[in-house]
Amino acid sequence: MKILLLSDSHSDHWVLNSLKSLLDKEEFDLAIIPGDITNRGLDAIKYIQKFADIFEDKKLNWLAVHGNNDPDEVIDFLKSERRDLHFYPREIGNYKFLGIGGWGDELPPYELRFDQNTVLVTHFPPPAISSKKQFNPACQPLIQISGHHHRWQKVQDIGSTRLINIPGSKDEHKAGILTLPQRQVSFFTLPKPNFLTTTSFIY
Amino acid sequence: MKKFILAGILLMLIATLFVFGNAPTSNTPQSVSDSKKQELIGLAKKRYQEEKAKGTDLENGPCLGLIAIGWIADIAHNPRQSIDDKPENMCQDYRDGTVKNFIELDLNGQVIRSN
Repeated sequence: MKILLLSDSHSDHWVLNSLKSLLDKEEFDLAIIPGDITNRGLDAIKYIQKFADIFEDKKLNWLAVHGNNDPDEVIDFLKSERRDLHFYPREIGNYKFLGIGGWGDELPPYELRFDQNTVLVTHFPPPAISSKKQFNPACQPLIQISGHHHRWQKVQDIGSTRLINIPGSKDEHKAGILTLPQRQVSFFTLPKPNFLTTTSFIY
Repeated sequence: MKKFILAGILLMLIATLFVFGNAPTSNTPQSVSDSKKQELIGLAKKRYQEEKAKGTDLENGPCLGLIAIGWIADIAHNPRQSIDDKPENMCQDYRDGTVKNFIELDLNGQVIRSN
């Protein structure tokens, strides 16, 4: 399973154009978006609709958690479009995908227990990604995918869990690819938008 | 003086249009009280029991239809599976945006979530 990992677009239209160009060229089985798709503001709902349309056009399944900057309208949108993972598990292939969005303070994920086929998606990276001492050994998902820290491009194995932090698509113009079952991760620079075919997204 | 009265009426008209022009429509998710939500969940569970009594096959997570104005009940697996996202297992009114509120039940008729 080839999974696109894209985080922290923060209502950026360059990212929309680039995403469209990327999906014109490359195929994925699934896209995982660990939050901050939008910035709080009037255009958040317009942005998430355009974001969703890109995946819809390519018939690419995508799932997301909300970040600390996604407003309630965006959370409602994800929920009503059945794209949210926030405390809402989904089975895809042999894996269970589950997310905890926002600040993660409703229920800190590192206090939960997970089985070894779970891919946990959070907006915030776990404390363990910066300090091994804070990692709860009972919290052992197969993989934890996070964003939020725009400059963090990290892959770290702790116990049986692979922690992946995706750099920001807006600030760093980067995204990742996760391949299952190998758990291989690669990061790449998002392509320059093809402005000849994506003019509808330019403001 | 007449000019002031006319300007006042015009301002009131603009303010009325602004307030009511931005009022939520039936196409936006409703926020309901806990007691109303419990009532809607009760209606969804009742519909589930009716379908089960009729012998309807619920294994694929079908739509249970409209249970109240603006609300549908839908069955899904928990965890959600790809079969739940098939158009034939989702509520058409919800898919086309006519209805924006849902109660989701699992295959045993227990609430997974609602909006």
